[in-house]
Amino acid sequence: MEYLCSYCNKPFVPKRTDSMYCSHSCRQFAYVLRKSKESVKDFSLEKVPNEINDLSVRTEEEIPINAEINLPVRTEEEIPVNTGIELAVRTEEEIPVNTEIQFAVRTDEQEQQKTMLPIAAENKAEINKEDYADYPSRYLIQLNRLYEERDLWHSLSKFFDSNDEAGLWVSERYRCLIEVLLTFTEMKRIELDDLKEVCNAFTDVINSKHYKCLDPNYPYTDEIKSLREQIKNICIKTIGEHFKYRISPEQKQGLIVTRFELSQWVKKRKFSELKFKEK
Amino acid sequence: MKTGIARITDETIKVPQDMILDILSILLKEQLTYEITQVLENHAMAVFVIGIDQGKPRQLKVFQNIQGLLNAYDDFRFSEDEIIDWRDK
Repeated sequence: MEYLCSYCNKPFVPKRTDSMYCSHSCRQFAYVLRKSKESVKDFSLEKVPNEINDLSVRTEEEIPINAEINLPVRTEEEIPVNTGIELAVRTEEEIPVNTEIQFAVRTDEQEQQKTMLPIAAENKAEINKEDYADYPSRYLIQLNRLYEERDLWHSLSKFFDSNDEAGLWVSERYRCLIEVLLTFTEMKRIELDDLKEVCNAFTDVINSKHYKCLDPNYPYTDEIKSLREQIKNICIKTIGEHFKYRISPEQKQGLIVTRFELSQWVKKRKFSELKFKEK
Repeated sequence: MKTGIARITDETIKVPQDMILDILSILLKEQLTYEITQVLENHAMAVFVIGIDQGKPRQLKVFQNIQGLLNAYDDFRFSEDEIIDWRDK
């Protein structure tokens, strides 16, 4: 009996009765997509406003009832002209309606609520304990955004389904080199000779027939060249045998996403296993 | 009869450098006790020991949340078991 994959909609024969995806890749992509949606939703609707509030405006629950008299009381003589405390000395006429500083003008209704506040706050605390909303990770949100912006899944899918020999040859090596570079970024120090070896491997890939025969739609052609140029410059400028290999956070995110994209199509191979130079 | 003794367990997690800010901000917001016990310099990771009160569901949820984020990062960054020695000597 065939099932339909919940991610790519292709029919597949399940190994288990509860299988939802045809492959590990589909399961992983579905997971990333789901996480991405959840994270973006949480991030935009809940966490960011709260964080902004934490920094600038306190929420109503946090503001003590007599908040307005806790504000610094300064006479007009004491207040310097053009300072940032204009809000604190505004008269009631100047205060716009429906702003975040409404709490300064207390109505009779609010007076009545004052007596109920402890109970309400207690209940709210109980509710909050039960309704725990997961915190998103800014870093993962950025990775997911980048992954979605690049949106290479379909183009890679078409490309690799055609078993393009040149594309597979280059992709296998490019993935390996990215893995190495990512490992380098996480090491305390690397040897300059190691980076030179990686740079030479990039050069060998670029000079290969496979690279020259790449399909014009292959998405990483320019990326490989610019990465090689960057590594070459580091090798030329670096003085000393050991150094810390640093790349910008944005570039690291780009490498992580590329590695993730390629990992769906080509297996991880060790640097020592692959031949970069064609015979 | 219930006792008021807190059942605090120490949970150890390895946090990659990229995720340290996110994890720290959660720990601080939720006011969990934690200690950075080790820095793995060649892996760009820090080892955190977090005190979780097993009697407090919220703390358990926070810990699950943190583990979920670290798993999601691992999916992106590693996907498979990685070998740090890039040459595999």
